[in-house]
Amino acid sequence: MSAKVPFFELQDVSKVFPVKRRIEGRWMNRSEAAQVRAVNRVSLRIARGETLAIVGESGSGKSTLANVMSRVTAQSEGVMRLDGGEIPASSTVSSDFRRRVQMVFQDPSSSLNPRQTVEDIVSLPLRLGGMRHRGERRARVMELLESVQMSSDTMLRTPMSLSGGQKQRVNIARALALRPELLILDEPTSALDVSVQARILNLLATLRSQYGLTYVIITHDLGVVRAIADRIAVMYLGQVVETGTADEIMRRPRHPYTRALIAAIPVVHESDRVFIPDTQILDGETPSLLDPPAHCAFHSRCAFRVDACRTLPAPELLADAQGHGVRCHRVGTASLAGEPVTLP
Amino acid sequence: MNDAQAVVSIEGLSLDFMTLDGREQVLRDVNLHIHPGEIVGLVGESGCGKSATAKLLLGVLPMPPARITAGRVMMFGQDIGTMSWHAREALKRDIAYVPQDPMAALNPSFTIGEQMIDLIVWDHCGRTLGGYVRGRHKRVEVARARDKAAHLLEKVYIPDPMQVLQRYPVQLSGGMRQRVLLAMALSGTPRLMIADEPTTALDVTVQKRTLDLVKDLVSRENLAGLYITHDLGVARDICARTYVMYGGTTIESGPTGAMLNAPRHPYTRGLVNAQPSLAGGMPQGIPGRLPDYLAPPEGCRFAPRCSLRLAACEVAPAHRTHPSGRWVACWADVDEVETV
Repeated sequence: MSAKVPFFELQDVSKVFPVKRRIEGRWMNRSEAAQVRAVNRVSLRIARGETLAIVGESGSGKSTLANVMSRVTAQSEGVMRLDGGEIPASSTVSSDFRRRVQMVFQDPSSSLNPRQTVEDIVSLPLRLGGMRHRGERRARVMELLESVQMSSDTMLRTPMSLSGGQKQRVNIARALALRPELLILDEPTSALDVSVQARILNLLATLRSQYGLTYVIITHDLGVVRAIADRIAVMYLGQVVETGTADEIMRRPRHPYTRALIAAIPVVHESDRVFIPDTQILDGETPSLLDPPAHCAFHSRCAFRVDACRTLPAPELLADAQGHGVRCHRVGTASLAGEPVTLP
Repeated sequence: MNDAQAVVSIEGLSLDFMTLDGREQVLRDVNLHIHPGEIVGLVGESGCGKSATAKLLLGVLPMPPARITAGRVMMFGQDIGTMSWHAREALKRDIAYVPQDPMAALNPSFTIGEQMIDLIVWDHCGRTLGGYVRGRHKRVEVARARDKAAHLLEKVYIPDPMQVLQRYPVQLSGGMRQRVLLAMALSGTPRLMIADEPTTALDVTVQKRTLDLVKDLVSRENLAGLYITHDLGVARDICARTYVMYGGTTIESGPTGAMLNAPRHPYTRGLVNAQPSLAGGMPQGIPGRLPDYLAPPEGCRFAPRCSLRLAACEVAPAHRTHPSGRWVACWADVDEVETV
């Protein structure tokens, strides 16, 4: 990551939702305007052909970030660039951007119209993309279904008669219809059984090498991340708290939150136990985004907290030479060796 | 296996559903035993008959469409096939049920307190509608129930229970809701806890805490547990013994750790290999899909998807018991396969 222009870049992107907050303790309930900063100054760089996984618990802002990246919603602050070209922050973006960046949504059943056939579903983006001739569209749909390893006779079936894995394949086929370059997948396998999940992951890996796709995968399952991702960004309360290569983060997680997240994974394979860091389970609830902690966002639940975490301003995401960034006071750049440093 | 003291023992159970499309042969040859003080896991993918088994034990499976065609289900030493309706209702007090989705299981229109008091009053007034209607309006009864509700919430380590009783389900986090349901499950005099995927809707860190709580409750309250999950890692964490189900039959059973380290049945092996490893590498899926219950394959139900299929698989496999308490229902489970 030097002077070369990254394929997709986010610079200090934030998403703020205006909400109403109830003021309690009066004789009548009143409300006041408040802000929820669902995504808080996130900077990411994604190289072409790379797979970035965004992990975090529910409420960490990862789905909002995915929506911002695919422009389902516009960001409130910050800059997004695709291939060096800035994407305007207005809600309407060019059809070129829509063609190049596509999204696969979380729930395979609710993202398909139950009244339409698979052919209708997959050919809609083609029609909107300007493919007028019906026979041409049908040929492309067949080609797409073949590339997601489905037989072409499913074209006339409705989503109701498909299994969960097949529905997700149709979703992927629809996203691929316009030959996108960047695919944003929001929890692509969380609704599926493990044996089906494994097949979808294999399919995604095949498609990636076949079409030279770049993936952003939103997930909470670190096993899935390990199977498919090159890099990981860990999110907590709308911020990226740790980022680095998948291998590095799984082997040497540095941020206390990442460590706790990995420690909570229920292991299946006995050999995976070596990856489980020796740390305590997270206590307490995630703080509310309505009044986030003033200092380090994680300090209220951190096992390695010291006084400095409650007095210093929020830490910055500091990266070492290999691009492994950590947002923590206790992990200084000088001592990114592994264990969080114990202060005297 | 000493059946006399087993909390639950299911032997050779077959269960059919009579539907408009015909006879769906859902469960066939299910064998499962739960002994006092142990948590037994039941794993398998969706549509494998895990929940049908749990509902049968709970007594909430509507029996006209469902029908037991073979086998025997014993709970607390009584055969539920020959039991009267009243005896069956009384038995429900001994079972604690923890449902899957905490948001769907709690009514969003009522406070936690109202819902818990309802349940406790119902239980205390003889589990009849008349008793409940009379009791629900008696101040003494409600006050007693509220105390008990607070006590139950304390048991699941909810801080400030009186405050929580006044909240609505939406005001609680997912982990808190699940703990409220655990508390509600304990409101009777449970001896058996049936948990149907209680942590699938939760984040991993919350899941970990909930699992620890379930383990803690089971040992403190001296319960036996049936823990249904599709997550092998969770089963490994919480269950001493695990049964694997496929297509409505139990196919393998044994101590969880040993079984997952060296699965014998091809399906169990497929499930373990489908689980992504933290060391990296692509997991492998199992080709094919679940059998159609209207016309399930004769013999072994996994045979059409199995890579080790033999001619013998046309006949339903017998259970082969191995030392160390494991058994497997597979014709291919001989020594050559073990070394794979």
